[in-house]
Amino acid sequence: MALNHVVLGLLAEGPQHGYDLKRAHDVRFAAARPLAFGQVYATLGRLERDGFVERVGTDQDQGPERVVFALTEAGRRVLDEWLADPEEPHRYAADELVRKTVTALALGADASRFLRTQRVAHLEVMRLLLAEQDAVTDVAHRIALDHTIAHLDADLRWLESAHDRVTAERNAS
Amino acid sequence: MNSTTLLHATGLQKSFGRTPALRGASLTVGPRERVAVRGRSGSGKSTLLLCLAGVLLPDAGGVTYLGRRYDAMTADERARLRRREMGLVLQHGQLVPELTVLENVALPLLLEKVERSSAALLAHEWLARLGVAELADARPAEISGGQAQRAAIARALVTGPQLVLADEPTGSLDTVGADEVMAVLLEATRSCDAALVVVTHDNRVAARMDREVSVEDGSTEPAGALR
Amino acid sequence: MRPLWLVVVRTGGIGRAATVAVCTAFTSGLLLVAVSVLRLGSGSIPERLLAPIADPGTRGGAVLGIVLAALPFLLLLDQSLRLGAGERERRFGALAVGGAAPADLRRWGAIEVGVPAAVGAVGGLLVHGGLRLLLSGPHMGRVGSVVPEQTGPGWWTVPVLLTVAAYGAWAGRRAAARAADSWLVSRGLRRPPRPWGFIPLAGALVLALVSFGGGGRTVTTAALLAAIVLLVVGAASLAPWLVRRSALRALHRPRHPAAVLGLRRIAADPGPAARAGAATGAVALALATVLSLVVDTRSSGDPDVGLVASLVTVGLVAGVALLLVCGSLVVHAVEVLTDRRRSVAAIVAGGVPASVVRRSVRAEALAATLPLAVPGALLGGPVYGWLLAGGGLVELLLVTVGAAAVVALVALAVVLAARLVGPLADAATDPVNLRTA
Repeated sequence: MALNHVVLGLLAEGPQHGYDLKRAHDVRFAAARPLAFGQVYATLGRLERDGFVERVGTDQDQGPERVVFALTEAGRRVLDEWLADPEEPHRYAADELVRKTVTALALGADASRFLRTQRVAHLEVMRLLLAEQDAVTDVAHRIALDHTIAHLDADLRWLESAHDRVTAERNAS
Repeated sequence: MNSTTLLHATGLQKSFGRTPALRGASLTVGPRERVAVRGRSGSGKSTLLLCLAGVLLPDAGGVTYLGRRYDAMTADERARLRRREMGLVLQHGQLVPELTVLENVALPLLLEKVERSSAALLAHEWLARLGVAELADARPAEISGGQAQRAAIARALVTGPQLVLADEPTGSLDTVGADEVMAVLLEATRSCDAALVVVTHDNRVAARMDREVSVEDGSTEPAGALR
Repeated sequence: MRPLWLVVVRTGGIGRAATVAVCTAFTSGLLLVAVSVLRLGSGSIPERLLAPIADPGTRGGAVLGIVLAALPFLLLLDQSLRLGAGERERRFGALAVGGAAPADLRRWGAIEVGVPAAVGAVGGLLVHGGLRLLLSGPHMGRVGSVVPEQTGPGWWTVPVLLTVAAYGAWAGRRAAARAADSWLVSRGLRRPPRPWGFIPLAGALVLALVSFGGGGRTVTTAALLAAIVLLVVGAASLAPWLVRRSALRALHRPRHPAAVLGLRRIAADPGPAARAGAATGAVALALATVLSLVVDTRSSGDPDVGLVASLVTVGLVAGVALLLVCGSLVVHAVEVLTDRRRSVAAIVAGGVPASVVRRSVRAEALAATLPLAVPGALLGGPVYGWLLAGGGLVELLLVTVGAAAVVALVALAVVLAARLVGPLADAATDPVNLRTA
């Protein structure tokens, strides 16, 4: 997992110690799985070895001594390069949803019952997410929810267009 | 049709010239219910909404509101029923350009012969509730699409209707604007205890409703309860 | 917050209200003159009057002529109600969504036009006074006064003013009803016009026969005025049907694309342009009648200066009316092009030359006016002239030629008016109209 760049991006806000980094990650990436401390320290170790972060001091504030890390010039450059390149769109749709829908449509029988049930299921999840989004004020959280909602919307629209295309082809033959 | 049905439409057929828009569409709405009417463009969903509102009379089939049949009423009576009991929100072209936003919102009240100062007060209240109180003296041409939709929603609710009918209310807005308008519309209808029928092709909007009805080629298929 | 009815009523604009007031002023003024003439006794008259007016026998015809002169103003009023129609439809649509009932819209329409019409009707008193100053008294000399100085409209003033104001209110109400309806059926097809207009026309014919057939003076007067009213109503309501039928028939033959464009447009929505067409029909009728009377005086021997002068007057009035009508046609063409500028610009962008669009405006205007100008000219020419003169083939030939000349004149005026609209037609084809708002 490319946690390296994520941690570099978090450190761009300012020097922090591992515990802060974990909390900052969980706030910024609210929809993702919360980060484990082991992962944080392992990543910091790697980055320090490659010269992208450095130790800048310790923080003795009620409790065990914690090492504070900061971004280096090299680390900054690596971060900027990463942000300059677009992410490659996924070429392979390996979703379970895709497999099931294509099968249902290919089997020739009337797939509308499946599609309707699937639609209801999607809309239910979307409704819950929208309600969650209304209740939340944190921008990062809302953006994360937008992403999931947009994907559900995309799935729904794909279900409809797939059905249209298959029906049109069937009617033509 | 049980006694608590608000709106009941059966077997609606409507053609414009030689083009059939509705071919046997049916819909029932109960009090405080939220129904999404979904369909492709050209499926007849906007025509269905206008028939439900009593703006258009179908060629065949009937619509009743609380037991009163539309085809037994004159156009004037239907207009009066509509402004007392219903609120209508369209995609665009619904605010009178020559009236200020406040006057637009107060319009149904003024037509009901409500005293001008009381009407202004009520209209102000609703504009404030929808977050656009400062636009009261502006002209429709001076405000944005989202603000115009809020004003239209205020107008739809100002007479305390039992039923709000909306035709693609977020159609011309972007995602964030659309979400805001939908949230506002839902909250406002909830506070009025009004039922809501929304014609939409937007899945986000449909997801917020209790029930979805699908319109295809002028006829309806219930797509089932969403919760 | 302003009173609702006041805001809505004022949206028509001052230009429209002013046009309405001017038209009703001239209409009521001319009607007051006509009534004054009718009130002249059958005995000797103290003042020197124009021959057809002085002579009780021909007085009916003279009154008819004066009233006909008011027709173009009425029809122009009807046409000016078209101004801003597209905007009005949208405004009424928004009002209807906000809860206005058709009855509310009609009421506002009636006030919007009724008030300036009433103002104009009262202004007709000034018009009557002005015409009396201009067209009577010693300076009219040997020819004789056209407007009687000693006799006024008397108690007829009140019904005349009330009728004119009421007509304004009715016309405003009808325009509002049409705008309210068209918002709803805008997505569908408009219902084609029906030839109901034949009924009032038949009624007008019956009443005209009654009035010419004798009976008391009040009966004759009332019957004549009623006949005129029915003639106007009949012609105005028949015009769209006639125009549409002629346009559809003309499309049977292969035509230049500009003609096809113009003919299709008028067949799809004949109403407003056809009313202007009805006005040209009235003008053609008036001019042809004048020519017939000229021919009649020629053939009856000694030309009465007074009669010729009166005929010249009518001719001039008809000329002015023609200008008015062409003006209203121009207004209508501008209105149509502005309403449809998006589709007009689109077809030009697609490769149709802008000159074709300009010529289609001309074709549309001709298609709206000729089907009415021809019957009007025939009615005033061969029918009236030949029936009046009752005479020989020479007279018949002359009045027919006269009628043809009148039709040619109308066509020329229409073509000139269409030429005037040229720059506006070009503005409608501008690609800037393709922008999405």
